[in-house]
Amino acid sequence: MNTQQSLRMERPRRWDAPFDPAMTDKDVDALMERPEFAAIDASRFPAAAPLRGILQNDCRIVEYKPGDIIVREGDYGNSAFLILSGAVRVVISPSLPQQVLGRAPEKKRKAWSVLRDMLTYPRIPEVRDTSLYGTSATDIAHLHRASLLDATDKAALFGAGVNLTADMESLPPLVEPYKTALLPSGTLFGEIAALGRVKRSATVYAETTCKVLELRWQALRDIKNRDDAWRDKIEQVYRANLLKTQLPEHPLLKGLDAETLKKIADQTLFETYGSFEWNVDFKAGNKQNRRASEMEQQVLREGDYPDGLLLVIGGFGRVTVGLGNGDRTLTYLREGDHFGLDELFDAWKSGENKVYETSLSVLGYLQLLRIPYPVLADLVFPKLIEPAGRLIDAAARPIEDDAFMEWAVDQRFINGTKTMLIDMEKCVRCDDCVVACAETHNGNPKFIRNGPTLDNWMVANSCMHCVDPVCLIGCPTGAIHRTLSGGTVIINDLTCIGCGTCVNACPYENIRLVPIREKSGQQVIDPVSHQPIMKATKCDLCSSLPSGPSCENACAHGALQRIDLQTLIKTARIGA
Amino acid sequence: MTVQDQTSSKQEFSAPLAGTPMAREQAVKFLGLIIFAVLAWIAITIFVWLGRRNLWAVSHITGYVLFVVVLGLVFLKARKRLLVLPLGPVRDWLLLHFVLGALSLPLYFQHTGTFWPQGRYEQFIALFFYTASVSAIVGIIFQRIYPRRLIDLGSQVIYERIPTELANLREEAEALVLQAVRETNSDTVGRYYAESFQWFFKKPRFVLSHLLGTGRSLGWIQMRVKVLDRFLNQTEREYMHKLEAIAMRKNGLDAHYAMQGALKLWLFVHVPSAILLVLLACWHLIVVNIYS
Repeated sequence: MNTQQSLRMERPRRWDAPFDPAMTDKDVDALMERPEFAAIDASRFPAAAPLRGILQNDCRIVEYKPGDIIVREGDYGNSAFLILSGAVRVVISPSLPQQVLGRAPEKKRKAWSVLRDMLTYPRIPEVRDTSLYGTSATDIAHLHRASLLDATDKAALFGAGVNLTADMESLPPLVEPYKTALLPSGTLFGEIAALGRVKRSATVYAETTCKVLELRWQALRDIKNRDDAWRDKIEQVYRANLLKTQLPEHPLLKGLDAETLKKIADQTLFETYGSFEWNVDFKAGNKQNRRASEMEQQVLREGDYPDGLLLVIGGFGRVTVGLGNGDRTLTYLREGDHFGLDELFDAWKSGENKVYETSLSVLGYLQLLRIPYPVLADLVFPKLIEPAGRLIDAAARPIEDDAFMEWAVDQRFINGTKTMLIDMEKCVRCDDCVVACAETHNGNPKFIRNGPTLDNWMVANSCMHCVDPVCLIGCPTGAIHRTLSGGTVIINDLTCIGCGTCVNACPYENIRLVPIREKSGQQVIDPVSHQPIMKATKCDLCSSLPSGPSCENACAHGALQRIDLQTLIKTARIGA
Repeated sequence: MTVQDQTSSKQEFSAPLAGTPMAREQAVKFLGLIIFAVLAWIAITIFVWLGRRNLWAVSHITGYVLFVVVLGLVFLKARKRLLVLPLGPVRDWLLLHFVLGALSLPLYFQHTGTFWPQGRYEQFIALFFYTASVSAIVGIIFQRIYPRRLIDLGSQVIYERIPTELANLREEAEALVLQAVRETNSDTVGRYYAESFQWFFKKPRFVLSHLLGTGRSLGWIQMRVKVLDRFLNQTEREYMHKLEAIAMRKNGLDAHYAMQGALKLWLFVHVPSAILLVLLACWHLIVVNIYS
């Protein structure tokens, strides 16, 4: 390998691969004349990322035919949408059948192709085919779109005897039990998923031929950061939509009728604690060796008087009870959980004032819906079956039994959905997992078999594919993103510009920047700065392989598992 | 409408565990394989008994069975390289490897009828068979004992990083000793370091002791510190305690080196002897068929 010679290649930049190369100046001019953009003060945008540049490179205009599905409920998404013309409908309830939503199966590589690569991968680390860079823009004209017109049982959607033709101007309305709402021109939707890093909460489809401006979430972020009106509008819509979508879906309220839910929603308060960008404080706190509990904002304390039931709709919270000179973690809360039910129900039953038996603090950020007590007393508790146990009962467990949970919550491993957990009592340090990872990734392993440990449990330095992937924050190109289904967090090497934002953002240091080489072994150098071109790399869960995670498959002793934290806490305990 | 039973689901955290779901599944599979192997061996034994009474070509049949078993054992290595094929996880293949390995021992004796064959070539086969078998048993023992002891050392280190860590500790110790000499204006600590601890920090020491778990290294460190104590003033004593702390960290690293090394190196005996066994067995098979 001759390191004296090197390949010169200009350092990749944010807009080397625009969202849609077909966006023209004329398109941008037309957008700038729209009231949504005309009101923005373009001078507030930096020269490196002007408003016109954002519209031209981080947005695309997409035309949909009647019936085309624009976003699907349950998908992860990195874009928001602004309706430019035409009629668009959102499905409120119930959800459309899976078959209608037309989820394309994730493309897997063929086994023989993987085998061939395993036998012929280059012995030089981090080799790339640099001829592919700059060619990655998606050809949206050839994207297959699912359509309601593809449903096998159209009668269930549109009613029997309805004439559906490919060239009709407007889709007929969906019949009972489906309820939809019209989104007029100028409506922004999809921002919750794009900004909140969560699944799409509803399906949206085109009722007529329509033109939609799709904004990458980076565009949305940049615009709302520079324009107060957009920021206020987005936050207002965000809150209103969260209330509308999350309340009916909460497990505690699922059995209630629509009228009752509306009454509850009208009086429910939306609250946010902590910071969406909690990773910054978390990493800083770790560097300073601060205790985890010192970094957590308190929502309420043991002994406070409850005034409403808290429903968790995003983020994580820690439930604690005082023990000695500290606080003992009883459990943690995530989306779908609630807090305060025991005390409020007791108060309703007995007619006496009750106080909180536990405290609640924020792990990163926490989004809550607070249903006031009078609403509960009037509309919810009369229909509620008394809870079987109480949260405070968990305090009777031996302290040692919760050691693992305390540790996992402190380290914020609760974020992981595919945490690499290694039982070091079974691990014989053979490194077959690392070898398998390398062999299925062109000779480059994507994780390090080392990491924080508690007794026999190690959480290795491998991407956990978090519920809340903060690594996505700040990526200028969207190279690091979630797959549409499944939510695996992957990096598109073709659009990664090696800026290191995700590397710095990851609270667990599971992403690495690596210098890349040509097939011949030459290092790829930027001719201007004379620095090596870097790319971010991390575990991709072998999402393109038919066999799933190679590391887990390769472990001969069953020591390594890729698991969700819920299972982690339920099955892990420190050795006797 | 029922309330989400959040409390009871969280109380599962405290339920005593018989093992993770995967561990239970593996235990069931292992039991199944053992039962199958025992039944297979019983069947073979009955066959051999009948065969000897009826003058069948018993050794041919047992030889083929043994050969297939040995090939099955070797296939574990191939399975690890062919991960992309949907042939089940490697941990299941390892269970099969254990069971086939255990089965191969009685099969071998049934095939050869003796502990040590007379033919020179067959003696080589026997040698590699026993080497592979004994190394397998040693490897299993290592894999059962050492991981827990590595955990009990309190810190984890990747084997390939041990030389770097050792070098860092050596530099730290030497820097401490130099500082002691400068600050105390006395060469007692420095001179003693050159006589004793310098040897200790040079490379991994007490490897056998760490493998056997005798704790000899701890005694060595403590004695070295104790021997010098009477010649030191309070400041020098503090430096010696710091040096002792570094030596203890180095001791932990030595333990990692010894045990992780053993966990890796036993395969350098097991795998080559298994490969040679297969090669010799192939030729043995050819020769037997030509000359029988």
